This record gives sequence, C-alpha cells and structure tokens, in this order.
Amino acid sequence: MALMNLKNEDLSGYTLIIPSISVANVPQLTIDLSITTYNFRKVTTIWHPAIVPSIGVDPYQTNQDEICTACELYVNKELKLAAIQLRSAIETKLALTNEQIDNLMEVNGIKPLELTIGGKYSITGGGFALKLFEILHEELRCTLLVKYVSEGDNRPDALTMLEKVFAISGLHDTNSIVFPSSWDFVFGGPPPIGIY
Amino acid sequence: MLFGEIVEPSTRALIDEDFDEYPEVTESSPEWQGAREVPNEINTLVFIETDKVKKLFHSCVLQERKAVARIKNGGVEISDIGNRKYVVTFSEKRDLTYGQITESLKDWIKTAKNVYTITSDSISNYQNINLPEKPFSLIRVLTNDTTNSFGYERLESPNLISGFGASVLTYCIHLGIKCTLFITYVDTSPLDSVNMGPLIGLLERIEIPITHNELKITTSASNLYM
Repeated sequence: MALMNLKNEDLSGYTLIIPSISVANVPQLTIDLSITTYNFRKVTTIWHPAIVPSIGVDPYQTNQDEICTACELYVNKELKLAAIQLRSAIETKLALTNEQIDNLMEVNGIKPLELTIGGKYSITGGGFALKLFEILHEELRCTLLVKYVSEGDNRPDALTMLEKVFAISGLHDTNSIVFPSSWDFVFGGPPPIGIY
Repeated sequence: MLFGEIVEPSTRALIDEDFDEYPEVTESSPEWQGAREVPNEINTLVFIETDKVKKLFHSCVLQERKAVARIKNGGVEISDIGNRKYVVTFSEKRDLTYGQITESLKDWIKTAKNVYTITSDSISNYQNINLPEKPFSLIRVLTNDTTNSFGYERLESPNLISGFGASVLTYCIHLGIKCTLFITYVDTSPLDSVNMGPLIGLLERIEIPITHNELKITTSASNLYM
C-alpha cells in the first residue's frame, strides 16, 4: 500500500512543512492558514495504519463535494512549498523505523544531505516534533520551529507561526490572511434556543 | 486535591505523550477465524459500529445469524445476510489499529460492488449554525460517490467523524473505491421507534432486508431525572 499517490507531481526542490500534534494544535492552525491564504492545492491523501482516522467535509471550501481525511498533502507550486495537514493523532506503536523512512525517501526521490548536529534537546508538549527532527536532521536540512503557547484562542499564535514559517523559508508573506470557514466554530456552535 | 495543587486539563494529556523513545514496533497480524476466502461476488458490504447501530442490526437484520468469519484480535465479525450482502460488525475490543483492521479487510472491500459504513453519535455533538433546534435524530452522509447520496444531506463542516467507518471511507478514498458513510445523530435516550425511525429508513434505502422485530427497550440504569 502506497503511503501516498503522487502520480506525476514533481516536488523536487520543495520545502515540506510537517505539523506535530502538540499543545493547542497551533501547527495545524498554521497549516490551515497557509492553505487558505496561499491557495495550496490538495495533491493526495496519506494513508498509514498508524494514523487515527478522522473524516469530514472540506474545511476550506465547504460548498464543495471534497472530503478531507486525517492526513493529506497540499502544495503551492509558485512558492515551492508542500504542507502535510495532520488532523488526528498517531498510534506510536506503529511508528516508522529509520530504515522505513530511508526507503520512503528513496522511493519519493528525497535527497539526503551530509549534515550532523550534536546535542540533545527537550520540548515539553511538542508531540513527535523533536523525535522526527532527531531522525531527519542527520540526512536533511531540517528546521524545528517551536512556539510556547497557552491553550485558549490560539489563532494569533497561528498567525505568528505562519510569519515565521515564511521568514525561515525565505518567502515574503504579502497575501492578506484568509481564515478557513471551519474556524467559524472554533468556540463551538451557537447555544440552543431552549435554554432561554 | 490539595490546596494549591496544579491540576492540568485533560487536553494537556498530550504532554505525557512526548515520545523521547518510541515503544518497540510490534508487528501484529490479524488472527482470522472461520472462512478466510473472500466470496467471488459481493453485492453490498456494510460496516457497522457503535452500540446503537449494532443493537438495531442485531434486532432487525442479523438476529440469530452466526458470523461466517471474524478477526479475533480486531473485534470484527462478518455475517452473511443473503443475496450476496454482508455485514461487518466492529467492536472496540481490539489489539489492532483501525487502519490495520481496515487493511486486513481490503480484499472484501475491493470485491464489493457497494461499500457502506454506518455509525452514530450523540445529537449534542452535531454542529450546525443554521439548526439551533436539534431533532431527536437525523442522518448525514459523506461519500466519494457523487452520483448517489440516497437523498440525505451531506455532513456539514466542522463536524468530523472518527472510528472504524472513518477508517474504511479514508481507505476507499485513498484507493479510489466508491464508498458511502452514513452517520445517524441520535439523542441519548434508549432505542425507540422515534429515534431509530430514520435509521430503519436508511436500511430500506440501501436495500438491507429488515425483519421487523420488537426492540427490547431498557430503561436507564440511573433513575435520576434531569
């Protein structure tokens, strides 16, 4: 079973953004903002038995027939950016081994770099981010972006994170921000009339 | 709780799941029992989960039928209901992930002409800004088959569905197989003709033979009236 079906998409030279499921879900919100503001296009669903399933309608264009799944790949050809949107947790007992990641990189034409970074870091509440960084940084030019946040209304955190992502990628974020329609329910639906 | 003790909200549970070291990957494979062979022809394959849906199916569709196959460590039972139609019942007692179970059923899914999944959730979890007064029950649909939604409205954003049905639909989308997921939002009261009426209507629409049977209505274990 292919992890993803890239068909004829050539992602050579792209920067890939991977959100970690972490405190306040700021990385997911940031990916949401990237997709709506810069018109990222969905190119494939990503299937792996470790991904906890979650499914709904397209959170960006709710009038479309498109269905969104737990893990998908979006790209922006002009910006040469690719982003994975991960909408649910990962079953860690099925985590990919280093060898499987190497195979995956080979199959998808991802070229490893000859870089090594020493030292040990710790990020509390950062999900799988640090572990993924430790696996990838030896072979890829890899940046781990961390924002310390409090849980609550985390939309401003996502805006700040988006700025940083673009700054690190060497891009200018000139577009005016477009919020996904699904964010209308950030604080739940309206109260039931019956309570009044 | 002690005065001054810091109590973290449940959403902080993730903090404890930081993975300094991942557990050893344990390769577990499905333990099949009964017929391993997939039938040559499957007209309809219906996946069901959640207590309410399973209770209705057991009462009106499956009754005394015995499973023709099961995945012991996946909580899955497959029943033949005649006319090349099969019902896959899913229970939460499992050692495999949703994805592993779905993958182990791939031959069944690929053989089936029609793949449906039916799940349920509490009506209080249903979000619709245009529907301030919620009915006793309603059905919504998610499908990658744009030619037929069986007359039901599509699930609205930002409602999300998780579980076995979500896994099957995700898998089908990934493979390009047509699949339709139905979710019935019901109140939390015991099954009765009012809250289960729409679900029985759904079974008729997808041509699942129903044997009308009396549902044993059980009262709540608690006698507390809210």
